[in-house]
Amino acid sequence: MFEEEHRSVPCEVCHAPVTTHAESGEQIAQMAVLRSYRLCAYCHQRLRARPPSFPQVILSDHVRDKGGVLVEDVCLECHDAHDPLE
Amino acid sequence: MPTTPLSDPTLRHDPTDVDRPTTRREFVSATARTVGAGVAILIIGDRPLAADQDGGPVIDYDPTKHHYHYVIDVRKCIGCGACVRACAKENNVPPDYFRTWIERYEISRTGGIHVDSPNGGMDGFEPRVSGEDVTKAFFLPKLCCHCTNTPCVQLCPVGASYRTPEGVVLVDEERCIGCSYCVQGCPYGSRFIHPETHTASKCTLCYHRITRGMQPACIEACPVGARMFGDTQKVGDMVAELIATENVRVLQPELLTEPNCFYLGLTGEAR
Repeated sequence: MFEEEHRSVPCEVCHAPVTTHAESGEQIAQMAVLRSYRLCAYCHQRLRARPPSFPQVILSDHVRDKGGVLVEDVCLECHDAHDPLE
Repeated sequence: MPTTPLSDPTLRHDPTDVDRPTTRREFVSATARTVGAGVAILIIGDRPLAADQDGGPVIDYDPTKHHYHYVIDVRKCIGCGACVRACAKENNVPPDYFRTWIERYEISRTGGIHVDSPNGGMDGFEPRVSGEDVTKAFFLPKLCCHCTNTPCVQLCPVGASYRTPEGVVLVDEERCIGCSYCVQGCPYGSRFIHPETHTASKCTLCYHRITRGMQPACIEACPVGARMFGDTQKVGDMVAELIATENVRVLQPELLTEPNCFYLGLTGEAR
């Protein structure tokens, strides 16, 4: 399901901690899907303390350079959360 | 590793219990069952730990057959806070208290050090504006080091704080009187007094998970593999190999607490 980049990110980090239920096929609740750029920013906002090799951007600059507008789900306009660099 | 009565989990409030508190009747019957299972294991022989049990009773777990270690790779941590959020959810950690947290260090060219930990890193970090020329910066995740030579166990006046045979430092909430000697005594700041139970609380290495073959919540949550968990008594364990071969360090080694939490990529500024 996952391509290279997000392969090591656990499902529960972005969705709710209900992996056990998902694996058993049991649905106990609606899966939490947060489409806001704030979720992506947890990891990908540029910070001095982050390892330089880790993909990170200054969000406003990145959105502007791509010709977009900073709306809540702006990241998902270009990136597939499960395959972000396709 | 010798066990004293104080470190024998079967003589204490069952730390693998997910639901708390238990009544004395439940405690006694749970203890009897645990001892009975222990006797059964001695008779039948040691069997491998059931992998990935999803809740339910602990089966086939022998505390003396494990020794846990934790490694954090500071060079990989991106300060996303997923570990802090996962721990808080898994262990019902109250707001403004932390069983694990992340500190951000920013060091300027002139040697000035700035450390911050906004809400423990739970909400991630925002860029910090500073006038200094910051030349070095990193994130430092912290948690209870589960020391071999624990100050907290020594300090506890009622013996509520104890070390299990596999090296996990736990608090027996039924014995704890909330005096907070241990909170003051821990050099790593890993303990706090729970605002509702008024007992000492801290990272338990997700004891309720590791005794069921799972990993601690923070380990599972880390998206970059900065946190690693291992069992040095397991043959071929990668973390044990890493500790034995790589340049691992501990926090404040001069205090001789002998932490079981090791760091890769730790710099001289880290405390």
